[in-house]
Amino acid sequence: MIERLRRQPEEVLFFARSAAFALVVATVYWFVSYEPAGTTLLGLFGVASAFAAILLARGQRRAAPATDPEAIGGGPFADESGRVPTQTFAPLQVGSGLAIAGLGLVFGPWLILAALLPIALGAVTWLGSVGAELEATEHSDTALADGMAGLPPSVDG
Amino acid sequence: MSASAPAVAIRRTEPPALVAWLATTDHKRIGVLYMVTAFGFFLLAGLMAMVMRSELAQPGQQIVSAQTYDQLFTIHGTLMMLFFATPLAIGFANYIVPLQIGAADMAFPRLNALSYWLFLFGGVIVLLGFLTTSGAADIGWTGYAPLSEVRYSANVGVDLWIVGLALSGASSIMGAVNFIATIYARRAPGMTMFRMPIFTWNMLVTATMILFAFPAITGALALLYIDRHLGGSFFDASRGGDPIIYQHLFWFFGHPEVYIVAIPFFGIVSEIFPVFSRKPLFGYRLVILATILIAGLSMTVWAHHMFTTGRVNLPFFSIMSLLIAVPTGIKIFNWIATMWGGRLSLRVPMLWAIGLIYVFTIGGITGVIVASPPLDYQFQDTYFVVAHLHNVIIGSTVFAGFAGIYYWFPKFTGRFLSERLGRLHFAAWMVGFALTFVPQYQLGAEGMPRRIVDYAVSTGWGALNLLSTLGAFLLGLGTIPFLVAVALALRGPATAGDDPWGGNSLEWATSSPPPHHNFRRLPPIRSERPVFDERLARAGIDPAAVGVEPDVGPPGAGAADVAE
Amino acid sequence: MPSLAVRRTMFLALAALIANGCLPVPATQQGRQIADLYGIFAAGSIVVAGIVWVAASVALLRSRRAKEGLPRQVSGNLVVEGIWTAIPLVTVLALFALTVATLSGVDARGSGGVSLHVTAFRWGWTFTYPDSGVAISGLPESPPEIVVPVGEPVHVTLDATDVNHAFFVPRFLFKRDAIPGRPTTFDFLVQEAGTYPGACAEYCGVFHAAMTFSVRAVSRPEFDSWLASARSSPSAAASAGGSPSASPSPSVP
Repeated sequence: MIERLRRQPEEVLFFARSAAFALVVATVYWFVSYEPAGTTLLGLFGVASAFAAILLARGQRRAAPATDPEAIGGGPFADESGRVPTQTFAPLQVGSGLAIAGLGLVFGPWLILAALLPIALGAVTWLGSVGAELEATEHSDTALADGMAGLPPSVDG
Repeated sequence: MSASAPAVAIRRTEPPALVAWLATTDHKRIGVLYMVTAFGFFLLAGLMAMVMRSELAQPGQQIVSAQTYDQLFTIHGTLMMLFFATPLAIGFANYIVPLQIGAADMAFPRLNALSYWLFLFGGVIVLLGFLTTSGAADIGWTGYAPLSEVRYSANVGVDLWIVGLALSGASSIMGAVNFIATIYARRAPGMTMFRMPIFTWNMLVTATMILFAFPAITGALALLYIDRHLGGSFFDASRGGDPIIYQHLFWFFGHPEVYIVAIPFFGIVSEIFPVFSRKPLFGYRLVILATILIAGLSMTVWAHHMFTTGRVNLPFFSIMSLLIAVPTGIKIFNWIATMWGGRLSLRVPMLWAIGLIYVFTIGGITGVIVASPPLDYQFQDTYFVVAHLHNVIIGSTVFAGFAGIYYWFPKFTGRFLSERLGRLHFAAWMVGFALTFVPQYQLGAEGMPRRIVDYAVSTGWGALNLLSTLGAFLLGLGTIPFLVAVALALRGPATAGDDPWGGNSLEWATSSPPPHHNFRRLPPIRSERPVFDERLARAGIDPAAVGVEPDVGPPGAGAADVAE
Repeated sequence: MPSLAVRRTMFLALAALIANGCLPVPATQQGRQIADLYGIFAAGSIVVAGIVWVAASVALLRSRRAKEGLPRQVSGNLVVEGIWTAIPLVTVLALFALTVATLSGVDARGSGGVSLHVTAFRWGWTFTYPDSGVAISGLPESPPEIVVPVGEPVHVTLDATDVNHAFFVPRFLFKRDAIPGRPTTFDFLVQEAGTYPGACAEYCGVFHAAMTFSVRAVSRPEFDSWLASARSSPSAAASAGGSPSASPSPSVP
């Protein structure tokens, strides 16, 4: 167990240490105070950290180049780790919808109904462009695999 | 749409400026939006503080009614903590973190934009209270139940406050997820965890704290809303609830929050000291360890705000709070050690960073004093605590925030802020700070409670309060040179160049401002100072000759060959 | 090293000066213990602030002598970093030990003396002496004054009827929150006769600032005669048995 932990990269250890710390403190806190609210909060802090650590440890097989100290990078910038979306009003639409819905909690539920329109509008645009990007990314990954060297997204130079 | 289209499309059809801002998903634009909005809230809350200080300048009520005063200190605290300090940190991080790790954008650019809009709307909703007939929330920024229950505070301003905070809380959690994902998944090849710039490290720690702390207040607000409107009795003792639980939930968020608004700014000065001393950060790894320790401990000290309730375990929270002084001290000493033997360049960013050491130290020390329950019996809820918290938050957030603006403004715009106005700004704030808050320590020790609109002549607090008010006005006036400097710089030509300070981290390896996708090329990343390494190589200096120590890399990695 | 001892004495004297200059003169036994502890913390504070400020200033001044070109790229030193980790650690542990010692003194309960039940409400106080049935209540326009005997412990049970308040007497160097439904207890022992103003320290609404009271400490015989007169003619000493739940509409001065 200890040995397996030691082989984990810093990304995992960061949350693993957080989990260990929180769970130890939660235990100590319970026995010095018998106070349930704080113990619960500390305990959940530990459980949440452990959850993050375990998820990350399981995902480690696909190690990013950034964790490899030998791969020092340099040269032309070709950020292929994700596609940068173009301009979109979707976040503004969803955000204003959520704000109107929040006001509904104060001024009456009818506002929540009114909020559904911008939220739906934003969500459709949002999910649509996510789908399109996913397709494009997969397409360019295939192109890369075919040796056609996908164009980096930053070609404005 | 194809993935490589956006950059080209933007180039061809220049959209109107307003659309470019409203529809942006570019982390740099969102960062600017965050910083400008947060600064707007800062000015507004600062004006509120000046009204409050005017009221307190003399015994007797002169300027505002008690009702208005209560609204002012509630909204002042809420804006400063949740709509200035936190978003300013997130704004800096938005702009800088992707650049520092060599990424084209955040991991989730649209979510990033949504975070900003929720923050903005949350702040506006909190302020909407002033337009209602019963006024804004008047329950203190802590919103303690049962005072915030509908029986004692029926005004709609409190509900707007709850909704505004919930929206901004959701925004902060989304931001935290986004930063952790960005830092974990989008680092450039070679950017191992222990080659990340210290500011990015501090943001990783901050984002983690936000992730674990903010749900507690979101929960508290939800329970409060249920109590107010859906017949709940979570915090109503007469119906089986517990007012103390509210305090636990609030401070489980509230104390980490104090560090959430400090750690990113420690990160900023940890960038500035090395650059303006021409040396690496002294004890890079120990500073990271200290940051993690501060964050961890700060999650376990919440009830030191509740010492005087008589219902919390005093020794536990006392020792945990006292222990935070150790890693905080490490940071301060490591900053001094970074300056030690360096060739200091006392430009404005460095002045603010050095000012932070002098000012923050008082806040840290008084923090140790109030961490001791018997002493807190006297100081809790007095102006001593008011002075302490302003000392800590102005000492870290505001001083380092200004340091960061003067430092990165050339990167944001390609232009320098006026050195002369910057020095004036700094001097006014150093003097104004001392004048405002040193008298408040004394007033608090003498027993002046916080959140009072008035005090009797017989207390003898008039003179010190007047001094404090004069100081507050000096702080207000001292901000004008900064605003002028920004206006002048934006009108002036871009003369700063890409790397005006001789920077260390990757943001200085691109143009100012950076192109849409941030970089055209990246230098090799062999240490936490890739730009420095490259500058050295260009100048033909042997790193070993100037004492550069080889990067040790993570445990088990071959170190010698990495450093060549 | 004698010079160190001299310096330490000087620091302590300076700290005592600051403690007296900053804090009100404590009127209770508990307050005295708190003031003593504060003196030690203040001394430590001055030392620490002195070290940090001097070190930062020296680092600043030294840089004037820095040569052109790149300074030596020192990236750390485990020994000095260990020193400035260990010394603060030992310091805070020592401060913690002193805190715990003082805490047990401040929170200790005495025997004998007087019992006092304090109920805070918006925006006034009701003080009840359960042994004699005397109750004093007051609102902002006529703040209540309680009388306690000098040199005897007063056992307080503190409660609130509506929102959170706090019982705070600056000269006692002490406050305690009054939380509805969650009564707490504490003792104070006044050592000097006199009148000590007190106030609500937890924000409780619009007249929070006006929610004051005072504590008059007198000798035992005086206290007994005051109690007797208060019992026979409640209105003479105070308005007895004021209804805490009544919603007052005080005018703030």
